[in-house]
Amino acid sequence: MSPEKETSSNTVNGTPTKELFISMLIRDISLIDAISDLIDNCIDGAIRLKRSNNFTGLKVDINVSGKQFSIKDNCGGIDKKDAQEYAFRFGRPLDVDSINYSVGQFGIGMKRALFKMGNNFEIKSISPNNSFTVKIDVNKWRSDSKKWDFEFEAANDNKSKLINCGTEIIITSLKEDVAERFKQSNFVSELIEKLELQHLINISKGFTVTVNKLALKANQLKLLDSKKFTTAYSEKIYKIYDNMNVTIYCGISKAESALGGWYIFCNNRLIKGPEQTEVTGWGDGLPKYHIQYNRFRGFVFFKSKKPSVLPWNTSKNGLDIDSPIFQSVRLDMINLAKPIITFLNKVHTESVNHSRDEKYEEYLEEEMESATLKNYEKVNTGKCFIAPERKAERIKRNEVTIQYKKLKDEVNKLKRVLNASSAAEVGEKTFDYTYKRECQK
Amino acid sequence: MELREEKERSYNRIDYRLRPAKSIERKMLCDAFRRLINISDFADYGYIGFGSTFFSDFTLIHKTLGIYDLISIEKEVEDKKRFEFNRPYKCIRLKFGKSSEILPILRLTRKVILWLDYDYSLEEDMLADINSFISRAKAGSIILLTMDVKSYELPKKPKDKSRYEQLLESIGRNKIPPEVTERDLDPQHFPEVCYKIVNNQIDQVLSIRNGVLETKLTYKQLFNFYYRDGSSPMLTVGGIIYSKNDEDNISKCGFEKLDFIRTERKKYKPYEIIVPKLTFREMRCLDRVLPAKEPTSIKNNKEITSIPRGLRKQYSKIYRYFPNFVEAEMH
Repeated sequence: MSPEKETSSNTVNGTPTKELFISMLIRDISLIDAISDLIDNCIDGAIRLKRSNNFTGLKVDINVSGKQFSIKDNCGGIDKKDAQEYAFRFGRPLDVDSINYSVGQFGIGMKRALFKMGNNFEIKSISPNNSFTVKIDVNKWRSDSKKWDFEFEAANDNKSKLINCGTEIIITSLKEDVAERFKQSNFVSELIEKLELQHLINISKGFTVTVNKLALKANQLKLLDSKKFTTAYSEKIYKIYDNMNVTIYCGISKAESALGGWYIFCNNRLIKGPEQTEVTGWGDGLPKYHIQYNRFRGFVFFKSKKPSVLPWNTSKNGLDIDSPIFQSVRLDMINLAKPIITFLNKVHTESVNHSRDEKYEEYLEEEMESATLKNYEKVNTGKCFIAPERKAERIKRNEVTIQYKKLKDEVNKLKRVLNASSAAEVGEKTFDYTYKRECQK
Repeated sequence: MELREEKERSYNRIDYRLRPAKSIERKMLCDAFRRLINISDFADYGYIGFGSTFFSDFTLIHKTLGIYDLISIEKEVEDKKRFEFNRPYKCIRLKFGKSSEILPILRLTRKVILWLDYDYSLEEDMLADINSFISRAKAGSIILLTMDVKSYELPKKPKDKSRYEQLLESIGRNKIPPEVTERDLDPQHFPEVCYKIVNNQIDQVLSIRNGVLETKLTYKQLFNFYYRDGSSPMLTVGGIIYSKNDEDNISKCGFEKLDFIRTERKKYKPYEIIVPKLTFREMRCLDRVLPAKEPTSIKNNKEITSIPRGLRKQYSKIYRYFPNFVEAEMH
């Protein structure tokens, strides 16, 4: 029987332990995803401040080293009252309204991220009406199993200009393994690469993210576009899911095996992608992902005022694949992807034929080469993917131009030997000479 | 090489007009489709099928139901000109490609009668076709699937694949009902396994679709035929998708009044189309006493009693749908 709690003979102790939060839940999230979770909180601040599509001027600076981790934003800070009532609670109470279209919603992200990285945290917040500092020593906090509350180190009700408002978190006494990774330059590169992908929509809306003073680039989701290609587009509103809006773009892009597949966003945060497994239909509805589909790109955007209905997991690195909404959208995704798979199969056949007989034109490939890459929002769209078709076999004489530079003296010598009247003729005759000797039987 | 390919295409293999069971099935289906008028006018319906070079189903559907929006999916792209030449009516649009390629790009803006009349046996693509239709079809639409249900060859050498392995290869583990074992795949039971697989797929997709719908959709099975025209046994499964709001209209259709309708899904009890081999003279003779409640009990008519009882019974069930063969095309 637990010594901490009065238990009567017919009750069973169901109180959570601090250990669950300090050392268990942190296993469900990677270091990078934990950092990404902290950025989500900043983005929610940005959404609250701007309520628009332009985040210019708002930023978050992240610094990682073997000694400490820090993250600082100018996104409005946390109101003292919010801090007292829910920001530090484990899990979000049901009666707290979430921000429309927010990305933070589980009431677990910040705490889990902090526990993941170290043992000492300092959280400073300046909001328009007040400011506060909370310092937490995890070892001290865990030693008292009854007391869950944290205390303000300092707090005041001074007014501040919005421009100065923001939140800063500093984590020290980093865990040994975490400190080790933070020291490595490759970890920083990996962090930047992931964050650029996960937050690409918000970065492209002007939100600035820096990691060790390097500003993250706004990656773009690009698709091939020309008069002959139409990207599939679908938009649906799901009434029984609080009017969740789901838009899908499905088309082709650059041939890059590592980038082919589906990209799934929830409230503009990339949750999964490039996804190349059964989760998004590869090998179950669509053929298994294969290099010949490396031009395939599908972008799915789930958007909801109520983030709790979105099909993401709490680590925001995976989908709630059993949710009816995802299951249903997955069917649409497969339907929209089918014509692209058909097209890419034809491209593949064409290239196989071309490798057997070089006179076999790679017509579809040429069409793709002459299309331009554009941001997904700017391409031609329609109800389904449309691509040019191969006409009945056309054979054209494939000719290429060769140009090269050689010493004048040597060219003149050859001119005499070959009885040629110009440098161009020297070029042709030398080619013919070599071809005859080396290639003709 | 060329000759071998010619042989493989089913429309070069069989003269579709001479397949009596298929012809009977077609007419029965059409008879049932007529009842859809209780759901909506046929102007709201489209038909999608595999017309091949004969377009028999298209002719029947267009003439008897007055459906004007007809699409024929044809996989033999190389014979494009031949199909275009044989297209009987202007309102039939031809789409070239495999059904798994064409179906996803067809916009299902109308209610549709879809007949996936495959001439081969169960394949993964068929299940994909079910997906792309059931996930999008409007309430009031009909789906029909016909396939060859000849079972797999028994392994002859130890290296050969078992029937179960062959099934696994064609549709994947997650589509095989859990209770199915090697023994269920013998020629007698294989049709039932195919029936279950098709039904499971329809159920799965519909349940996913319903997960996000306000007004849920229901699938009601109407058809389950089994017949043999050539060497291969054929199975047809199908039914209607409707929404709760349509329930009254569905019962008004009274599909059950037709004795070939099979609404019971849980047990596999197909309507078997058996074509009695009767002479024209015998058929005309039987026609005069039909319809009759008990055609087999006619005793006082000597002409009729000379026809074997079994054949009489078989004929009485299908005489309304029996094909009228002629030996030459008459002008």
